[in-house]
Amino acid sequence: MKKTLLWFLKAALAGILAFLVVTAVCHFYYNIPVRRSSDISATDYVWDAGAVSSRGTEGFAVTHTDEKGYVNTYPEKKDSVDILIMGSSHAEGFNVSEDENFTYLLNEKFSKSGIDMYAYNIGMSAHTLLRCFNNLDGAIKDFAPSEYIFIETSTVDFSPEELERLNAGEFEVLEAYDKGFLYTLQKSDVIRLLYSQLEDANAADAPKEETEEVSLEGYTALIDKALSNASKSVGDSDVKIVVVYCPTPEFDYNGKIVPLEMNEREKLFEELCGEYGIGFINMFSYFEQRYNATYELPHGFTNSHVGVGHINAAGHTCIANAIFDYVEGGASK
Amino acid sequence: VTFASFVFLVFFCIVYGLILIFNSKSLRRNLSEKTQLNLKHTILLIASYVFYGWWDWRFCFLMLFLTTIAWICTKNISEGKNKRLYTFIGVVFPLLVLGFFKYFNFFVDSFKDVFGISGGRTLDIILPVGISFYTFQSLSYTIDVFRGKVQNSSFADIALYISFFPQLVAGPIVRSSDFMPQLKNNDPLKLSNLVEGAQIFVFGLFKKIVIADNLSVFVDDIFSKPLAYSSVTVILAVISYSIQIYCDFSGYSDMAVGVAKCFGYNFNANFNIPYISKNVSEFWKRWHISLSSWLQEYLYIPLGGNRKGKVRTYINLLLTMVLGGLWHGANYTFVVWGLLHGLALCIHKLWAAKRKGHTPTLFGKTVSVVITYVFVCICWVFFRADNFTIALDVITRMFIPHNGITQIFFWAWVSILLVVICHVAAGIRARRTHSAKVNGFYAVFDLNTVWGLTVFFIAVLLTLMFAYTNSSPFIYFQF
Repeated sequence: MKKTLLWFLKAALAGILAFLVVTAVCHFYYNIPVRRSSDISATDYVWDAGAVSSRGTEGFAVTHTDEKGYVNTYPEKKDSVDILIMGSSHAEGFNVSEDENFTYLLNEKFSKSGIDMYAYNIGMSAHTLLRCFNNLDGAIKDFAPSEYIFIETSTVDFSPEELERLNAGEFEVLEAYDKGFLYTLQKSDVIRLLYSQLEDANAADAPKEETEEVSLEGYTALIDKALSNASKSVGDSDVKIVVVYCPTPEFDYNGKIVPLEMNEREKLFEELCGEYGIGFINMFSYFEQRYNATYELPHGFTNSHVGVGHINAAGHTCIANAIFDYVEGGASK
Repeated sequence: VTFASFVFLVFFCIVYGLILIFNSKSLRRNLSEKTQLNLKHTILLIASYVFYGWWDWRFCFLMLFLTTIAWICTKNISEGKNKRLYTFIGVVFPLLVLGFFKYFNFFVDSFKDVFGISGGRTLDIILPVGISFYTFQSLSYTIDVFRGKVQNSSFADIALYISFFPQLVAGPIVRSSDFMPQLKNNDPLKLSNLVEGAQIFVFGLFKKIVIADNLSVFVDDIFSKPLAYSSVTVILAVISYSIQIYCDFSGYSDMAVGVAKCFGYNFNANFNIPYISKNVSEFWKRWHISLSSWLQEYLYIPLGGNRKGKVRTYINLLLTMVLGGLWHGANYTFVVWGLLHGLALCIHKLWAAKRKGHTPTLFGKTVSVVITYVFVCICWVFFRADNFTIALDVITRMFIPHNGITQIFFWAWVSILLVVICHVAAGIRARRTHSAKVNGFYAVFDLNTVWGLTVFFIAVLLTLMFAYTNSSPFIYFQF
């Protein structure tokens, strides 16, 4: 009995020591701030303000969050926002260092070319285009951009269920988990990483969800309403919404980029954007050009499938160039 | 159920718990030794069939059929009735089963190709997982009984030998002469075996789900479109595959060794740091040892080995390696892989005969290791590629510099570093123990100390943290 008790004591001590060691490893490999709910309604949640984040699951980068909980580290800040950048983890700049993020690069380009514009990034993971549409009113209220709102998205083909929820004002808000037991657990990077591993494993095993089939007419009505609502958000102001579509280019056996073929729903989205005065940048040609010159794909990192995953440094450069060209070219508002 | 799954952990705990209950002192006192042994074997046998039936229960009948054939044949052989006929049946039936499930369509397609026959039908056959392993065990058992190397055993013992779940689906190919005597051992489950087995298992799990599976991401990408990538990337992918297949297969073998150890059974090591081999002959003494020794004993030597002159020796070597290649899969790429190894073995035999009595220098040894590794890697290209076009494109890209997508895959460097560290550790250990040969070993710690427990817990946590979470089946399951 005494021997068993002693062994358990040793095991507990060893457990604590092991946990400390892997926590030190995780501090570099997977150190993610805690999600917080906030007064800002431009995004469903924000990160801890002034937090350091490092992530090695795809590529590796260390980033900091600003006083509002967003990733904005361009040194020359302005009080007013000319351009608001919205989007998901791609816009947030997952796995790219702060000075490789397209918002940072864009500000740098403005500064170098003497254009008096300042872009502020509120890209936040899981904030897909429809979620950004849902938050548009809040974004305009909180940040009052004077010129543009660029919304990054990797898809322009949506599930009808999601569109229905958006149009009905029933789009569910992502939880922040900044209270109670879950909040405490999030403080440990090891536990977060293990939880993320478990979620990934379950996701890999889970059957694919079947989406509701709707006719093109039905879908047109849904997307029409969504875009109409989005355009109404800016009201009579001079702000222009621009969707930055970042498809993942594919390449063939010989390494040639496969031409992008948009399906009917994607074409419809682009067409309706035009009708509602919403700008549309298709990043494909920028990505293709970059690849043909340097063999660099816009997605993927040194630790992931080739050309798949989050947008990498090359992709961010392309997006910065495309937005800069759009703004500099004075695309009609 | 695969070893790298939560379901297996539950399955193992149930089986271990059941045996532990029947091992309890009170039950042991009341039951005869034979009954205790029978109970343990029955639990393991049922568990093995459940384990196998999890994939496809229908193939349990196939395994049962092979077991019955082996039992009938060996019973008659040991009774001295038509020994040659029953040995013939005991060998041919497993080969027919293997041939039908694994090679039928391959031979039909090859026949059609050779004679330019278009159309015709092939059968929609599902390849039973692990069939190559348990058919080999079945037929070698019959041969061993015929040769008098092992005594005939009961039906239940033969069934357990063929189906024992730790080695059932991806080896190692366990010899009856090694396993059958262990079935007579009635020692209760030991904590020391569990401690050692668990550590060996975790070691194998790390190799599989951290190294091999993470590398599979990169290797699969490059081997699907080799011409899209730069030469440096393709070379890195081939090196990565050499590590992936080693960690995948040796990882599974380690897990099998670990699980068997927990139940008190010892399997021989299946790998012995193969990439330090100085020639191809040595490589085959260090790589998939259970298969290479099986092929030597049950194919190469019966063909005549090196007893029938030089020419026959080379023909036997080539034939053994080509069949060994084909054992891995019904595809010409495996035949070429086997043929290349066979040719290399012949060349090495010729070279060794010429250099007899010559002591190689350290530089010479190093060059030999590098040449052997490069050759093995080139052969792996044929092993991994889905067809000849891809294999040749990979090799062309490796040797003719070309631009393309450059992917400096992080896990490739980590894996290379780990492999180098492990080899250096094995080298240091060999020096310390004054061993002439560098051998692999399991880093088994004393889990009664805080230090041992800490290292073990760190290993478990790191394995879970860095595990590749998408599905990536064991490479050798397909064989």
